[in-house]
Amino acid sequence: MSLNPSLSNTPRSDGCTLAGALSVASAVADGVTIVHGPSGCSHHHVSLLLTALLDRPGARLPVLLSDDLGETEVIFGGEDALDEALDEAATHSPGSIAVLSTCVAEAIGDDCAAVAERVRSVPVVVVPAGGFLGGGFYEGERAALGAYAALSARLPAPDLDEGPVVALVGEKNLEYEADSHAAELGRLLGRLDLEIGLRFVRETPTALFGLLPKADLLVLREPGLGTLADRFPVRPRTPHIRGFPVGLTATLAFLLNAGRALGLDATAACEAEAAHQDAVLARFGGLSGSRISLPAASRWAVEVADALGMTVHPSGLPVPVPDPAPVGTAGIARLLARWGRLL
Amino acid sequence: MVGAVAALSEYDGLGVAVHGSSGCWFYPSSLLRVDLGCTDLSSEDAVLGTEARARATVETMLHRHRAVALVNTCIPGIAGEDLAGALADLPVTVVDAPGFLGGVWAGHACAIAALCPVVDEEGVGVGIDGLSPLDPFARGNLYECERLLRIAGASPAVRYAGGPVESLSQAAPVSVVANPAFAAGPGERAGDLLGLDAVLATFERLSDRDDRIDVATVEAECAAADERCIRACDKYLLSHDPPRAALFGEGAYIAAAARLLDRYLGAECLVLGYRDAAPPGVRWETARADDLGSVEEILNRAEPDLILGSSFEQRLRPGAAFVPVAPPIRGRWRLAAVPFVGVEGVLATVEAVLNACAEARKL
Repeated sequence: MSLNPSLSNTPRSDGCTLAGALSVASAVADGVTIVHGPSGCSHHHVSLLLTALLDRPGARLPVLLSDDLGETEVIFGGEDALDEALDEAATHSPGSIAVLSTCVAEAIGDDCAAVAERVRSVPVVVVPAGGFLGGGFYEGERAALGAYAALSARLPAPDLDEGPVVALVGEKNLEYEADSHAAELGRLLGRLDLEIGLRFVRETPTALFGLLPKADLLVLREPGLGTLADRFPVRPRTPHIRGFPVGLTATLAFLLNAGRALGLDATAACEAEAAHQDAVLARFGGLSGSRISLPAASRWAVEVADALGMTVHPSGLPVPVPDPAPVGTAGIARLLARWGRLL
Repeated sequence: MVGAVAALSEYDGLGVAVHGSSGCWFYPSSLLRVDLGCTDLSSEDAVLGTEARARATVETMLHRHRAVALVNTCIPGIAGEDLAGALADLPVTVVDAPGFLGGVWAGHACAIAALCPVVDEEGVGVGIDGLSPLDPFARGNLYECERLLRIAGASPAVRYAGGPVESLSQAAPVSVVANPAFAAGPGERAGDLLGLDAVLATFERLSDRDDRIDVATVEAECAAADERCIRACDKYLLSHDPPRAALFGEGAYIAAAARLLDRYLGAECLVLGYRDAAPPGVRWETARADDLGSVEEILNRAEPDLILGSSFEQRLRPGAAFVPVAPPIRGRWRLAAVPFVGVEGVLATVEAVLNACAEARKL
């Protein structure tokens, strides 16, 4: 008789912890990832990852290895298999190696960190990603981000031009629009004469992670990353912006917050962006007076509709509101183009 | 585990639940799009036992299904609880199929074995073996097998896997095999239907066994299909060189495809990269190709202008003509039931190869 009748609190629709960890590790531009587990675990996620990558022409296929744990390793331990896989990974001359453990590795008690210690030639990060540990995709993603953040403290800071380092943290690597979002943030920061110094972690070589401890501003993909970012090895009181800007007002607030965090006057940048927003809205002036319905809790979309003089009512024509929400003014422009086709 | 879940989910009247973490559930659920239960195991369960969670899940599923198959994943597989004994009062079949036992083919075989099909030696009809929803041609293969059996005067019977779960209690004594990689049923196997020669040989064996089965109609279809393929390929060869092909997928499938390319197009089959087991008795080079590194190495060495395989191979050599024959197949819609086996399977494969080669040359 089980002593544990409690119900699981794991959100089932999340996907596996391993998938989340893999979405981060596979985005290290010069990284090699080892899935320490049965080959099936690797296949599932590589297949899903490929689906996402197929939508991006020219996307790099990450190097993923599986040490293919079988019945023998389950009985006698899988550390030797991991050891061999690390040797193979090193032959790719990577900037770093990620070891992602799986349910099997956790259950049989392999000490992945001890095995990884043996590798001196290249940094190795170990991410516990066993799905049965009670998490889903996001826990895996965060565990991997945390592991790379810890690595960043051990890396020398790269020599770059002087100037504030703005780091994007936790971009959703499987998101189709991920690069468009980053481009929009780059455009907004450009209004303050700033650039994105580090994308942590998206198509960034390992050596650049050494910039994280020097970061002057962390821009988190979503507020849920706040607790994780609080533990990053950055200077005390390094400011965070807790989420990419969604909506007209939020986009202007992003500029104000970024300016304030870095001691810059953002007044002119905000005025220029507000004028740009007006120009964008004017392009879609034909939508004025349309009657639409929106999902509850999309206040930013109501704000856009109000700004255009649209009527939001449950009996109106349902229009698409993407999840995740569009980022910045460019995201709103693309959304309005989609609404325009419907109306 | 995925192979087992896929096989079990094909049987009507049987609910399927994954006995593992939600992460293990996510992939087969998103791949198969079926009503798939899960016990959502956590680390506490791994330590304290999973029986209560398993019982609760099975009882919930029994509201919707007459019986339930509970598929063990790695963690309960390691813990080794006697769930079959603990749940003996419920109509549940426990299928031990942790990922570390092998690939999808092993899981499929575990599932069929766990359902304990009983062969009725006096039974009429011919079973269809080697069907798995993980095979992109499974539905087309099923229809083609049924069609060929019917025109030969035989009745399609039990399926491995598919159909009413009760059909397993009176299984046909003989079966034809669609995809040999998934052949797992009991009883006699008359043979597979991969290529026209195999179709004829298999139906001759069925006819030898039961004189009510008539090979003549199948024979006439095979001859007509052969003629159509020869004519189409001759036309292609008037203005194009024979392709240089690399084939990737399950051994039996790619060996059959290589024979077609050889016969009709005089193609140079550079390498047969197999996922499951090396195809026996082929004269072409074979290589295990179950990871991207080895596939890339094979492709770089062979430099084919035609690839039969999965989206992985397509991705690695985007300039080559591509015909999807192995999962995963991404980036294209597949709605129709296209067969790989039987007469229509030969026609569909040759058609796909010709169209892919012609398209690639236009680019």
